[in-house]
Amino acid sequence: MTPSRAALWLVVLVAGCGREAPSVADAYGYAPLTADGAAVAYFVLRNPGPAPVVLTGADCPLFARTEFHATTLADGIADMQKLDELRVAAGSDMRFEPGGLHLMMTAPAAPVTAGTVCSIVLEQSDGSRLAFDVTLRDRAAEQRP
Amino acid sequence: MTTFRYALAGLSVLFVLAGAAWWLVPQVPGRADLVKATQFPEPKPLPEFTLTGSDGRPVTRASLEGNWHLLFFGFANCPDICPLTLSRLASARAQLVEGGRSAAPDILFVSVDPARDTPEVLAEYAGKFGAGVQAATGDPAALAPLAESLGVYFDVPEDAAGDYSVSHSAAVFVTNPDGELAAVFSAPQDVAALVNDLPIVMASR
Repeated sequence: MTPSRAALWLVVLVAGCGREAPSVADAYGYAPLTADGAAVAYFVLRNPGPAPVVLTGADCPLFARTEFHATTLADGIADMQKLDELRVAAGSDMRFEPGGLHLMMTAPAAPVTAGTVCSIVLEQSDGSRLAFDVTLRDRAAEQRP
Repeated sequence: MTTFRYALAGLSVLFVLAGAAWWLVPQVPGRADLVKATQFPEPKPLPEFTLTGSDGRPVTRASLEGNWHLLFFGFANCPDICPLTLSRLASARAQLVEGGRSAAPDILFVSVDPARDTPEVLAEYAGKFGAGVQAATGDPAALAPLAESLGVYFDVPEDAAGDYSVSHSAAVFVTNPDGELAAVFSAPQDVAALVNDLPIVMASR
């Protein structure tokens, strides 16, 4: 195999891997509303690969705890449950969105305000990690006209 | 031919009347125009209660008198449904104020998590949502009269410590300037529905 052909195969291989790897899109979040309050992040986790992706944890160094949570609304009662593991089926997306699945970050090491960039790492069951940044917005001000 | 002309003229008049009715009827406020709220035919009196406001002062049934209020129960450490609901209520209120409605309702956030939501925390929390948003809380005995009269459910874990979540009703209750329950918005809240329905509810008094 000539060097140029080997390089071409390498490019194809890398490009192929890129298409298969899980990724995060449309990420955004909100800063805590009180000094010791909770922040939240929303995003879409895309798994275009042929195997499921299993998320086993998350971390943001600005907070002592970063957890997967799900808000449910049933019979007019809002409830929130911590989820230890999330399974994203092969070839599908998982949406973290207001009123549903979300990443909850609590116990900030120092006050976290709107505009802060939060570097989040999602841990997968195979040991790999998926990192992305979220700029935390001011939720209270966002919907004012 | 004359009969045909009369019939044509009659049909034209009918079309004009139907068009006028179609245009006029939506302009008349009435319960049929409500898209989300459930309005009570007769407002329901609320019992006496005493909560503690974010300024440390008592918040009572009399505190609700004199203006319309939107009551929402939750907890400040909730990162999702509570701030989402309050921001939508605040947004709807701001739109009503911008629309020139002097009787835009005030918003009262009632925390069912008094252990963490001290008056200081509630002051910081409510202040983030802008003008017209107040907060109050109380121990379970203080919360009970208001919560029970509105059918509000909440459940604070018995072994609550550190990070814990609180289940709670997510409806929004509308009280009139007499301090009576006038309407309810079931969850989840929608800004457009609030902006549409609140003037109708408030105009019916």
